[in-house]
Amino acid sequence: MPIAQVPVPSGWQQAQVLVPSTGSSFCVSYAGGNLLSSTASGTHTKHETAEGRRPSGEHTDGDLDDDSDADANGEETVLVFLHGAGHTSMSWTLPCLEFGKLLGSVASETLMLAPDLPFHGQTRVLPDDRDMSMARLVKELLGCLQAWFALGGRGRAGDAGVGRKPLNMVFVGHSLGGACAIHLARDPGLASIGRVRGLCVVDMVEGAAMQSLGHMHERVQKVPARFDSIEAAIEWSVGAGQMIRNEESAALSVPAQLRKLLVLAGYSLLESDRELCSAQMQGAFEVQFMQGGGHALHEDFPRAWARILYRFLRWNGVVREGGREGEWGGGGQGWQTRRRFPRLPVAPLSFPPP
Amino acid sequence: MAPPSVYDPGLLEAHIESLRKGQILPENVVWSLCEKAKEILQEESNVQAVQCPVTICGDIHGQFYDLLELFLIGGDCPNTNYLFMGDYVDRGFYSVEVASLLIALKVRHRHRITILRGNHESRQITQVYGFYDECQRKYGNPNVWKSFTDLFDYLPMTALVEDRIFCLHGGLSPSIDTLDHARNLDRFQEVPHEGPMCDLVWSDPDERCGWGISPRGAGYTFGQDITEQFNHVNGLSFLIMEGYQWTHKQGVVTIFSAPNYCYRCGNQAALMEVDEQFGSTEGQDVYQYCNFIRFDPAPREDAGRQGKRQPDYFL
Repeated sequence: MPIAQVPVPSGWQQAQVLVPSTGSSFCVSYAGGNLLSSTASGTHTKHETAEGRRPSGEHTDGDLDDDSDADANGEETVLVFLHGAGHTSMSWTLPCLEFGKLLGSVASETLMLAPDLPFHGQTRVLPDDRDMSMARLVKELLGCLQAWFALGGRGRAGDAGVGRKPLNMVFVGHSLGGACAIHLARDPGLASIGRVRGLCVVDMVEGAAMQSLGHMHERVQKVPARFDSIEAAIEWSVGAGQMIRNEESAALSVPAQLRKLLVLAGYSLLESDRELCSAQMQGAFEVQFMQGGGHALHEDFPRAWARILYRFLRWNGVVREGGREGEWGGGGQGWQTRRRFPRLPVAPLSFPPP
Repeated sequence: MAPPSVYDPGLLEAHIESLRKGQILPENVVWSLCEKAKEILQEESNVQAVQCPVTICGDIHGQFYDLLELFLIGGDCPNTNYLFMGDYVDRGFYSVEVASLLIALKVRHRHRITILRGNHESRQITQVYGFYDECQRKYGNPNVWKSFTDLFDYLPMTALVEDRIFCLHGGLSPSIDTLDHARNLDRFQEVPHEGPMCDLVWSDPDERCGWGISPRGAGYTFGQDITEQFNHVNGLSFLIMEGYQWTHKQGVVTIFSAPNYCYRCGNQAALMEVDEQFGSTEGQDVYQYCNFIRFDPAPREDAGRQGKRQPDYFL
């Protein structure tokens, strides 16, 4: 029995991905390719919303047959979004829709995949032995991705072997998902899928997490066993001390070439981890801060978060310009006349640290 | 009789003395010090000429007691000439004290101390990394932050020691081929998001040749070929920027002066003394007149780590 029938937001689809080697079944939300652009033209929106979130079972794909565009071009970039502990893939839908808007015309060559993590949402892993170690999570997620791309990039049965390999892979993880992303990004098993070009971690600092472990048990105990209605659940999840502070989102989600981005809620978090601090000083990665948010920054400020992710990918040349930069004040100070390096028409939201 | 001006040497010495004891100056004194410092800095070039002997220091980052330690190790100002390469504020707990003392010393001994701009000398960065909050906490309002950040717009971006050592906080810029390009920059503004002024405080040397996109998200990385070209064109011996090591076959040295960075990195700090003989030396011999001194954190800095708060939401 599915826990709750939450409609899949427009622009998104869900597929069940079976991992042949283990028998695990992943629920993967996906968007991008020509799906987003057709949503923009309004043809799919109603249909997908009405279809709702599919419970586990055979994935019927009637409306996928007309994605010949994406099949013809192939996805050049795949972004894999990994949600945090206690969330589901729906955590990413709102921020990723904002991200899709920024991609503009490039959206058709960018596929966004957001699996429910093992032991979360509608994903069922076998054996269901509650082994939640990082090694297990990474192994299962790797199996899911390999299965997805072996199936032709859409999770459809019968397409085995015809899937195009994405040129670039980018992992984006929030909290626990960030830890998974870090381990996944360096897994040699990914080589058969594509090249990992970027890693974005949202509000995850090991030093701070270790200090907070003591409160974990107390916190889990405070979660009510059941809610009388979806509204009550949403109200609880945006309530005092909870992680999500944006009601709209809560309603949806109850090597040297590798570029790294860390998005944090505040500087004090970064400071609590010695290795991060010194790596940041040496310029090993980029840090952006989004102040005023809770732990799920991407849900609290979906649009601002999308801009940060977009700028990171544009700055590092992972995605091409899609022609929408002008909308959010890209361009420079207008005083550059003799720059030799190709100029990027994007402006940072805030400075990264030294 | 009018009250003595803040620029009165005697009064200024008294302010410096109280700063050295760890006391902060009243808001209006900070304001007038900053106004006076602006007048002095406005006259300075964007490639400020510095004579040797001089002691060159990197980031301080609000570690006030380590700055005092630095003066103990390197010699007191004005008996030793100093060149600071930016990042005085943020991260540490005593950014106000560090900035006040350096500005007061600049006003008192303008020819003995040179202070450059780092990427943290900016309105935007200081609001994220702690200087703004510290001013708010210590003065109850952001006026002092405003005085300081307005002053930061006047800091020179780079310095040139004896026409041979180019010193700056970040690194080279693809838009700047010669020192004259750097001299002609209009620096009296907030550090922009891109362009040469941004690159000067954000770029890094890299093992790879040519220009690269910086993983920091601003500025560029530049290879040994770029360094050699720049040094050759401008007749330089080498570059100095924040960090701490020789790179690019002794074409670049980076210096970092915050020991036990963020009170937890456990690193030693460094400063570099350039001997008075340096000016009359050529070729490889120049390196023997550059003396590196390492030092450990001042003992009492550890006290600052108390009462750190974690966000309540963190799982």
